[in-house]
Amino acid sequence: MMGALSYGTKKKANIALIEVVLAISSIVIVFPFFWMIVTALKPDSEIYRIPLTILPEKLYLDNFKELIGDSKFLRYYLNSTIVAVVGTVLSTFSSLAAGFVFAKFRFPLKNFMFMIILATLMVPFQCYIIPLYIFSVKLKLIDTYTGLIFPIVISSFGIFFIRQNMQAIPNEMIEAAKIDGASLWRTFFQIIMPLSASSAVALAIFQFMTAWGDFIWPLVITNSQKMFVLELGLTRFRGQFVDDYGLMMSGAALGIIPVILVFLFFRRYIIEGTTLSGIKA
Amino acid sequence: MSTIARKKLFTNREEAGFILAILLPTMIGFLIIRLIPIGITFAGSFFNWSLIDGFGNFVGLRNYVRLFQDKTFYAAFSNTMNFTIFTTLFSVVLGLFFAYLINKKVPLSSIYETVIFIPVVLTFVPVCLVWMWLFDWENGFINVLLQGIGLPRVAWLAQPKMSMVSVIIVSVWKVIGYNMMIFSVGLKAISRTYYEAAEIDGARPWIIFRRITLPLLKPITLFVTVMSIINNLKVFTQFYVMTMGKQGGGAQVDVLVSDIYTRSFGYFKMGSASAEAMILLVVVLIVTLIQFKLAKEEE
Repeated sequence: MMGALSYGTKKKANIALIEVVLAISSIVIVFPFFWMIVTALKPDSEIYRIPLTILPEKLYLDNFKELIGDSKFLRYYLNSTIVAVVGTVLSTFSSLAAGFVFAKFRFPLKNFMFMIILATLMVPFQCYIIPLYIFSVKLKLIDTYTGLIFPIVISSFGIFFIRQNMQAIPNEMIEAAKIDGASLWRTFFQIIMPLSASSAVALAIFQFMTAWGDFIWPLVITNSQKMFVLELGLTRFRGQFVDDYGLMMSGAALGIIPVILVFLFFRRYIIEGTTLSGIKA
Repeated sequence: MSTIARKKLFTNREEAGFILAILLPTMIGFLIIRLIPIGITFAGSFFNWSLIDGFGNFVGLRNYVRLFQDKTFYAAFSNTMNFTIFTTLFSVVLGLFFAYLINKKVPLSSIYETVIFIPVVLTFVPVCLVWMWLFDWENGFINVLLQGIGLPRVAWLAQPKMSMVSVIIVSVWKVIGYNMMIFSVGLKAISRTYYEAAEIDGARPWIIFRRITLPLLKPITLFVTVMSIINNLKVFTQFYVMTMGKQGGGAQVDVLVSDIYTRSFGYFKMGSASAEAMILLVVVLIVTLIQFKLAKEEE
């Protein structure tokens, strides 16, 4: 840009100012994580000492060792993983299948059914949690994986999102497969699913993050500690009277660090998946 | 329009079988985990009932009337509104602010973008624990810092008013990155030619922002604001973790969802909890309708 030269110095000053504002903001935003990690690595005597030490005098790993050696804590992880993985696979698959049917076929009551699915999109989960809980009590699903997972296996948003994306797939591809003698199931699995891979991945990430972070349903549906998901298990680090911050920060770190690592590896996909609902607008 | 759709209306058995095999389980599942529960909540809001005896007496609107006379409900409602207003306001403004700065493409801007986005991907419980430590009265970093520069300590989580402020801080911090990303999409979609023309005319950055960027971002701003409002109305985890169940309980802050939770799963007053859930739904629907209306006017 030639025109930029005339603003030379002023522009440079602007850029420097923006740089400083962004750098300071980033430091403030990232500081809680930094403080979490250094606290987790200090012994109690150092955590509560004034003046504060910023970095630990020497690495103190007992808090982490205690948690990693704690079978309950590992169980929370396992439970969260099972719930999020199974829930994501089922809801993504059901969205793909139903999205395909709604995008490419005609059948009685189609618009009516689709409108109903759309209409419930806006209803907050908290507005039907009580009956879901009562079903679970009646069907003896309290403290079971089935109980934890069943409310998330069908997603209104997922069906809607996949349908929108599949409408872009040309019908010729389906007809060509038909002429080649492929059954509809085969067409669905071998042609439609691969073609929808990128929207399926974005949806799956969105569903996984939602399921992993879900709090109120696990809180309601589980009583025994061995069925707690990580989110629920972590609340136990709040002491009734006095908090053990060293242990609490180690627990928080074990909840946070894996997520950050996964995020940094799959940054593009995750940003797309997380902001999914926004991008479609 | 789809050619398949036009040609066939259940013409062959294979297609009918395929559609039914997918639709039947989906719709039955949908009925069980969504429609029927919503219906029961609605119907249940007119009954007096608990977990054991099922629907008891029909009480008409009494659950609603009682709620509106109930101090706890009133507090929960106004807390939810305060939380929603302030969290939405700050997170939308800051989201736009950072999207605007990041979009200037200064060196390292993609790193800043990643850092600002990180809180979005985390879950609320560990995040709240970390902030509770930062907010600690005695040894928390923030209070130590305040004292270090000669200011008095703040009781961040010891009484309801400050607890609300603290929860808002955490919630804003966590969602700025999300709003930033959405605004970023909008900013990138604004054609460069607008800016170049304005720069040639010698317009100042603030004027360019106000006269070009902001009006062109209006649809996105509306969307982000409405999404934030709806999400914030449903707030629960932050208040549960940071203000409920601690010793004394003097700092407990009720919001609509936590009040629904306490009524239903604490006191088993399913009727009044259902009524409160319906009130939450109505508020969400009103916000959604306003958005539809405004979005239509845009077009």
